[in-house]
Amino acid sequence: MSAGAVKTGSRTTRLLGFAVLVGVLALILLGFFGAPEDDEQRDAVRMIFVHVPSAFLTYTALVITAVGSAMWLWKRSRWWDIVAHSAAEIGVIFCGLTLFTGSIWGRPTWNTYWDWGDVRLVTTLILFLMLVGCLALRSAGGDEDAVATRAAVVGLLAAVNVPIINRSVEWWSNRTLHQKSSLTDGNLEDLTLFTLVVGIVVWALFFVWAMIHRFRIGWLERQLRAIDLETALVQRRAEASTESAGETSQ
Amino acid sequence: MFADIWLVINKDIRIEWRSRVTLSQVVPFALTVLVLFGFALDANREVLAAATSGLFWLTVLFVAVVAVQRSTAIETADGARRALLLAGIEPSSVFVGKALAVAAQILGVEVLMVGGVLVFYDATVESLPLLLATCAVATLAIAASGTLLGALAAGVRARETVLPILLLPVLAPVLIAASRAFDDALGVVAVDGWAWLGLLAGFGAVNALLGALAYGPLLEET
Amino acid sequence: MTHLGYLLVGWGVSLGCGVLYAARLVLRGRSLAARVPAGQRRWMTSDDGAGSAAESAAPDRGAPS
Repeated sequence: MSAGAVKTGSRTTRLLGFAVLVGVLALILLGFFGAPEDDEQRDAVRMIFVHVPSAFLTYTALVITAVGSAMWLWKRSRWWDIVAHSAAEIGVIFCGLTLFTGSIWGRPTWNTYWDWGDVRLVTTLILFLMLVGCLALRSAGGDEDAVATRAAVVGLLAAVNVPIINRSVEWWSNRTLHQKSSLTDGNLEDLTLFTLVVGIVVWALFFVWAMIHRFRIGWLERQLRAIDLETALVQRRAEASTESAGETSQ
Repeated sequence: MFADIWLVINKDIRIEWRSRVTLSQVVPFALTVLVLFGFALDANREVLAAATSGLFWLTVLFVAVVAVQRSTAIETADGARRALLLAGIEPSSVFVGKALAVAAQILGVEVLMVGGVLVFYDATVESLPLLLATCAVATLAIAASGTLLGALAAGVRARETVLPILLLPVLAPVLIAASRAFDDALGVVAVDGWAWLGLLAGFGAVNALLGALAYGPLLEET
Repeated sequence: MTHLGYLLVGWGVSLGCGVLYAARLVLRGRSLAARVPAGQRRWMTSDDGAGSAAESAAPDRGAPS
């Protein structure tokens, strides 16, 4: 660590980061050695300790994206735009992990990587595609405000359509394999439930940590764009003045 | 307001009619896709019959992408968008007008496609009211979200690729619902097609509302 | 333990992605922060304390990744 290195961390994020590290260690211990195996799924049940928290935070991220998008459209506040962007980016990662761990878990449990009959899995895939589209739109570039507005509309569109997609997939498949929500069916052993809650808390802490860093990066990028614009203007002005000076001397 | 909407519809349809792009390019494109699906499924009558509804609506989605791209290109060229705003027409009226114009074109293509499906895939119509209602509602829903995302993609550099990746996932529920309703209307599978129609209507209403609200900010900024 | 292979892949990819993303965030934050003039720094800390708001200048050995 060189002296004078500037970074987006702070005492809060370092504390958070430390908590995440400790939490992950605890989660691994609890998940692999603490929680008992399931009667039917045997040890495959240990996948839910990473799968369910990812899914939970995917949808949390979606809600934050939607709120940030709405606030940008309403208040034109750059702060909320960056929040929406950060949440969408982190949401894509959690969403991808949800799909991945879900498939990996489905193989031993349902005997298939992908089950078209599962409502939440299919809905999450479509959500993933929409979030990827939203990020692609942001990276396509253009005028800052216009990009923010476009991304906000797509973010809202995604959030609004998720319930409809869920309904349509549910009717379509009508034979869902997915477990009833693991948290509410009351079938879980106490220690399994506890581990799951630990998993969600750890993932949530990581989410907050990543949001803070990502937000600061978004803020920096914006500042740098402003600075670049300014230097370009100054250069242009300097060029113009030398040109005009040259003309008068002739 | 209705006069403005009518004005926009009229303008778009007239431009379309004069250029004849829909007629000379989009219709052949749709029929080509239908025929190619026939090849892909090895012209197996049973498979084709079972897949007819899905293939039909998938083709409609492709047609919608092309039609929306056309409809947006009209506004982007020569800064027509700005002129439309300066003319003092409410953005929501522009949205409704453009969506209806796109819907009219897609409906026109659908009529020919139904004919194509009846001939190529050997389909039979069991319930004409359900068939017509599904076409109408699904097309309006597609046109509403298509017009919104079209305007959104208009200002992006890579707009040809951005539009499909944004539009197609959003339209997934339409594909599911319209295909199932068609299954009922064509007598392929016994499902309650009218219930699916309700879902389509819900999707259309939500997306049309969002579109009408968001169209203004999009028009102003891109 | 049954299904150990599946479990290791699932957990490994999840944690691995988390670590990689965290590392990317930290590094990108640093490279961007270094380009902003000291007077305009906000949301940032630096070891020499120049331009940092009210943040402490402790080295961050506790951060994840």
